[in-house]
Amino acid sequence: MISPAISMSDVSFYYGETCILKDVNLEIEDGAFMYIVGPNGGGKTTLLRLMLGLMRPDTGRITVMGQNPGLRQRQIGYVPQHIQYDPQFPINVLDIVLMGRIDRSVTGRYSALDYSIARRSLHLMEMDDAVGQPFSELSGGQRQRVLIARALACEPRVLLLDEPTASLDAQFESRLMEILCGFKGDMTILVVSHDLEYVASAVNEVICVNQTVQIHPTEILTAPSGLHGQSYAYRRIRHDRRVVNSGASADE
Amino acid sequence: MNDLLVALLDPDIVFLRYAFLIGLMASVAFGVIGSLVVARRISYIAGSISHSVLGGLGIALYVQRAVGISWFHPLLGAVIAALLSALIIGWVSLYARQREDTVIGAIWSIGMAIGLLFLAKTPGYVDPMSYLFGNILLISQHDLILVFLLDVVIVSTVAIFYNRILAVCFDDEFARLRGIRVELYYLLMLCLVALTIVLLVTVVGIVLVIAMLTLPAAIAGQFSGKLSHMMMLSIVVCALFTVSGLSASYYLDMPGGPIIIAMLGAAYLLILGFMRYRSGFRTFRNQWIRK
Repeated sequence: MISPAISMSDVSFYYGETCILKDVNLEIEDGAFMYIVGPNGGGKTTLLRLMLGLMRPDTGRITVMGQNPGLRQRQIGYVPQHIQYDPQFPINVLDIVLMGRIDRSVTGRYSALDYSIARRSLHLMEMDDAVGQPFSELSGGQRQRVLIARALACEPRVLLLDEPTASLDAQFESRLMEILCGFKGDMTILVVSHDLEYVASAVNEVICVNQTVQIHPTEILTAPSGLHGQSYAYRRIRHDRRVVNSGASADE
Repeated sequence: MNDLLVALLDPDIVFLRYAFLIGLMASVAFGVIGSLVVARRISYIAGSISHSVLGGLGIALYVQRAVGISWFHPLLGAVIAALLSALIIGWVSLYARQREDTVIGAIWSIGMAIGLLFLAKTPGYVDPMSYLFGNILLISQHDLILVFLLDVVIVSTVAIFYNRILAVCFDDEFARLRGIRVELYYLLMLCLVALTIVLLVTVVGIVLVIAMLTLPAAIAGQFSGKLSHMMMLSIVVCALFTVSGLSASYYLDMPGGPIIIAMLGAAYLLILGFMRYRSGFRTFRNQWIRK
């Protein structure tokens, strides 16, 4: 019997007195490619951090590939929305991507294989030219691509991406989705995204997170009177903001 | 320059040769550990550890002279004090982040206070100033061997665990997710910092240790995009300033330590000012062009 990639039963999480997630029941099959959507503060990041074992649920049970999340951490590639880092820290792009291979030997020395995997991940993110560049000299979008490359260098079974497209330019955003779709079936991929319109065109079902977690067909997101009217309103706000920020046309 | 060379080669003047030798050897430890301290932004922790060393020195001297336990060498006291403070600070910063700065400050001053109290009750005359500022010209062969061993320990440990230490310093959450025992490596790093400080405090003094640990690395950091480059460059910077500082002290007949600090400090400020000026000029120019 193949156990599901991620399974949650009756999971609740409280931050102090505030309920972030309530009675979550979720089963994600191995090799699935799914989007997670929902308003800010709805618990999307918390959901990912619970799957990673970085947070423990107050009630309920989570398993990743049939095991406790803490035991599966090394099989999960994680791209956080932000990383806390010191902009003056002396480190270059290749060093960061190589960190995805840090657990492969006892002392953490990298083999030729590690280097080639790191370079391949950077190549996939179209960052070949930046290999030796200091991380601090990159733009926000380039940094995001380096962090995605680092997660890919882990050769994970499960890939969790928290708002990977937030600082990417529109062109690479669609490229990234193509690349990720290329992994369909090989690894389980969960992407937190704000861009509901894009999500609706790419997949049929989404995981909607707003304290509760439900899997809905995507039509519901775009229908004005849908279940997640709140999400829909949010999409409109987000859409306006994108037009202002990037100068992209509204129908892009 | 000639009479300095003559003095250095004179078989009767040992202390000058020792001073240059120990300065060059200490540069290796200062460059490697200093880069870690500056990159990870823990120079405040290094300051606290080095001041707490005075507590260990004071207690050890008192025990040796007043109690009469002769094997309790001041260096042993200093090692215990430094490792103890490193572990306390490390534990607090790993498990109780919000109180970290208070604890660092407390260990800093409590260590010094204990040291001064014990020194005051120690029979015979002990000058606390020599521990604060050291005297690089009073070095024995024994010190040379100890600093050489320290270099070996530090360079080999950092060389073996370089990638893991780098990962833990840069992004500890990611390192933890990759199964790295972040706490272990952080404490290992603090213990290396403590060992470096102890052995070099007894040679160059508390004040000079902090300067030599941070200033060369800070200068090197301005020109390096990689931690390993920063380490090597700061070894060079440290060695360069030690040699020129000691030479200056020979010609000017002034204490070596303070001259080295003054030169390093001036160089750091000049470089910082120059970098600011240059980047400021660049932004100004770009804005102008855009108009």
